[in-house]
Amino acid sequence: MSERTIRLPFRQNKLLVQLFLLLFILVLFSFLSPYFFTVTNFMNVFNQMVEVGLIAIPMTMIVISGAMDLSVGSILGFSAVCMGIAFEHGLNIWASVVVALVAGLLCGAVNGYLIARHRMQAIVVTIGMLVMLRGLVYVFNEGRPISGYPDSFYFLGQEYVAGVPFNAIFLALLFLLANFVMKRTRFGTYVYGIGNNEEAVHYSGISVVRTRMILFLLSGLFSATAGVFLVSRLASAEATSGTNIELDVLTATLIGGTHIFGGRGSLSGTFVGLLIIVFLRNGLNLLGVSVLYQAVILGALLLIAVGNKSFKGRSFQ
Amino acid sequence: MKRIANIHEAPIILFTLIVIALFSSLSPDFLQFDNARLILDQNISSFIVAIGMTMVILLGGMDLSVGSVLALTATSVGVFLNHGMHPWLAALLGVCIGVLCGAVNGYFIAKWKIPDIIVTLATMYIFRGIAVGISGGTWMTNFPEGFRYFGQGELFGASFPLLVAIVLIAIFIYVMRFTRSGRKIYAIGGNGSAAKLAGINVARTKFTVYVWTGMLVGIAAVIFASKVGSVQASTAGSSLSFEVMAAVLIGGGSIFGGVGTVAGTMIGVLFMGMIKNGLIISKISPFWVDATTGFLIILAIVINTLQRIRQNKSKEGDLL
Amino acid sequence: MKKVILTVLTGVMALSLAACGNNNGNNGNGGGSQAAPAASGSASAGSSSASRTYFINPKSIGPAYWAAAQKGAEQAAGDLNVKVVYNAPTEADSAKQINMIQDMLTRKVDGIGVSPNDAKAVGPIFKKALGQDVKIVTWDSDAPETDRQYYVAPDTDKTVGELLAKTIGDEIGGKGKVAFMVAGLGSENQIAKSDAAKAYFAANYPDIEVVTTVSSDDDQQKAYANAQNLIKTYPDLNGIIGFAGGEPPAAAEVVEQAVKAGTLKAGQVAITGIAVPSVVKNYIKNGTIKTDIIWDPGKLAYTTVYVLDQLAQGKEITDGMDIPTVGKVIVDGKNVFIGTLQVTKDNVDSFGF
Repeated sequence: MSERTIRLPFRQNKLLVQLFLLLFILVLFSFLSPYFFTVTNFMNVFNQMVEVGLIAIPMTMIVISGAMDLSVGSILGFSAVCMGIAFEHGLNIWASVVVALVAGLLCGAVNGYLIARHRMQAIVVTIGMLVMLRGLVYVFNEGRPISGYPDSFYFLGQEYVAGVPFNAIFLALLFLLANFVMKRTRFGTYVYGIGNNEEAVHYSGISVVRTRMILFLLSGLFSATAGVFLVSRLASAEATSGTNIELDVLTATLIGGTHIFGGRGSLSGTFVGLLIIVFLRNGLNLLGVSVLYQAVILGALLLIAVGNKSFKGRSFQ
Repeated sequence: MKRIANIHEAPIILFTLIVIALFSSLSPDFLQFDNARLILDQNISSFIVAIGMTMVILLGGMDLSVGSVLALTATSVGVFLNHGMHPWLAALLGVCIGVLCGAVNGYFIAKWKIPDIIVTLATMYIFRGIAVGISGGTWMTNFPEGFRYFGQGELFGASFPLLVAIVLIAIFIYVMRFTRSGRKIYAIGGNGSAAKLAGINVARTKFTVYVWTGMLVGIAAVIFASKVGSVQASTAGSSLSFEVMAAVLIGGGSIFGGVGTVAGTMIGVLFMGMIKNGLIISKISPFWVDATTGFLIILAIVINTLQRIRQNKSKEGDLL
Repeated sequence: MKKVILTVLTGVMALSLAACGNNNGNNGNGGGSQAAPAASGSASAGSSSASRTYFINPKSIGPAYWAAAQKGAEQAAGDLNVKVVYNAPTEADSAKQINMIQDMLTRKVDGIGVSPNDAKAVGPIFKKALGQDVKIVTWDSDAPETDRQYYVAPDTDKTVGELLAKTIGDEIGGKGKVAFMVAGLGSENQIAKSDAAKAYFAANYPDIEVVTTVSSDDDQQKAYANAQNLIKTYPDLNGIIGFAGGEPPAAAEVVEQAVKAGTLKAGQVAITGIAVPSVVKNYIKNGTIKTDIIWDPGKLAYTTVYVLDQLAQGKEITDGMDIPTVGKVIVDGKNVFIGTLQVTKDNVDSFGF
């Protein structure tokens, strides 16, 4: 396949379109609302986008590798509640955070084991996990929210460092790191390779199973991290946290130019896609536009931003 | 051909039987005629939508918008009825709206060649927004007596919606198995480039399949509205697409296309419906219902995959 | 060149979309429109009251209950000559709700009326709002351990739960099996009401057994299937209490169908619950539901805006205070109660919501 050679210029052009769109949204809302283009508002938005952003990192990698993870929202809720329960039972708050991360890793490991090792269809396995984990959350805490964490814990989600939310800085650093991994390391090349031509990668002596396993483990870990940050931001671990977050994450990834059939895409694109949807939502909120119209606008934007001719090369699969 | 198909669905049939045995031992009420009728009755909409989803998945696509199309159709039918329109006319117009939604999906997918998942994700947002918009945020309810026939009426001593579903299933099983149009769908899903080289008009087939799916969802929506008796645009059918997709895949379909049958999907829908009904009938704690459902879905997939590995060691690339 | 054209096109499309979305909002057609008073132009000359803006935030947008509340909030905006923004996420999700409140605080509203999805999670954002001197009132659902100034409700969850239990207990003659149908197993107001009903049964009707609680997750078809499974699982069921707007109509529909099919004796299962009269009108007229408990969500929202406006003007909230179109309200500490209504066959047509 000659796609690997086309990939670079294609992506840059694509990114330009997304960047223009973002700029356009920023300018538009600055005109429409006097409160939009202010430091406070921007910091607010950065503070709010962290959970979706954290999950979007592994999601982009998984989509590039030609799969999908729909269970992220449930993993988020599951690990958040695990952390809450651990804390309720008298565990130190940071130990509880570790419990949450381990819970997320375990969920990722189950996904990875079934999908990578046993070659099961990612969509179904993760839909099953989505239903099951959400159910387990209710089994564990009977649906009651858990709160009352020590103040030091709220640092993660609520504190500002030099005027910038701490969690946003954390997200930016992770994006940079992940971008480096995807662009400059062999692991990144494998991920693109699997998405483009799995068989070729397999015959080059690279373990497809291991690469996929790592991806789903990452997905579990990042979802759990998002859960921890969400609990810290909201000061409460609820059974419903993270419901439907997978749709936001997928939307950001797709607007960011990652190809749904794998092989193409970039984390920088996803980051811009993320900014587009959060600023769009924030701006429309500030204008008092009903969420119903927001949904329609988001849907139309998705069609416009992603649905141009660039897919022609791979019209069927 | 028939024999291979039977083997293909064998594991899920076996697993369904095991689950039936399990629930029967937990509750004497489960394995009874009127409970079987109840399960069929509760899942009629899913049965009909699943036919369309099977075709879409056979093509290698997926349709995330079915729940929103259902909401939009059901809400419009409610609006028509509340304006005093005749129930049959309202139902017919409802089905037309379903067809229209399907055509929108099909247009973007076939003509503009945008991947299915992106188009249907976008229309999922859009149709839902329109549905709530035309409902004005209120419930569609207080339907006239005549409209109840679609969901609750009887014909030749059997439930009318059930007959509709059976006829539709029969037609589409026939179409998929014995006609050229059905073969085309399998061919495109199996190997798109080869199908194109063989002279099949891929775009037109795709468009047609989405239009048919829209029509099926429209029919399901009319039955849904009539059966439940009220429609809330913001939530109607919100989990439908995932549920039906899971049913298709449990029934032996492959998300990569080309593999699966309508009959297998129907078993998948039945399986999902039975779990939901059985868990409540065997008086399991409400907190455990979802957890158990998810576990059984995963188990069904595991069994399916084992069967496929046993059947052909060669790789299918069913990884998405 | 093609790319450039495409980019420009994309931008123009987005612009027109955003613009029409905005217009819809201003015209008052949308679910979350801005209800600016008709005479806002002239009002700005005389008094400054039109510049007061309140954000009224229900749990979610879509359900009929919240749509009815929106009408009340908009009416209050017109009557009091203030601006009201009525908006919420499409699903009852705490994180999205708080993001939205955060956005509105940026807009420097004068007060927020919130129906929190999670009583604890709104704590930090309320603290922040208080720091900006924004008035905070919770309505319909409370957040007791936060900085909220008042709680506007029909009555306490406990009283409503007990009232529902009493209604069904009287109807079935004090003994038998009762099932609960709730909208969410995790939502605070549902838990509080069903716990109160259970406690009431234990204290006053020891012969009533609560057999199970099923949850619809706010999905109608699920509520409908739940009700079907209930009467199948418990053939000797005597009563169903639906604790949220979607549950009683689903239960009533199923019972009516079962009676028609002959699988259930007419009048065997008594149903009560919280439901908007227009939705259950037919069932009440048929006698499937004898008594339904409700309050006017519009008046609830009206009171919320009124209380916020009083607070913003530095006025006192006093017991027995007479609120226009709502009437006298009971003020108990930090709670404002407007009272509940009982809907029966005789008065079902008299409600405008």
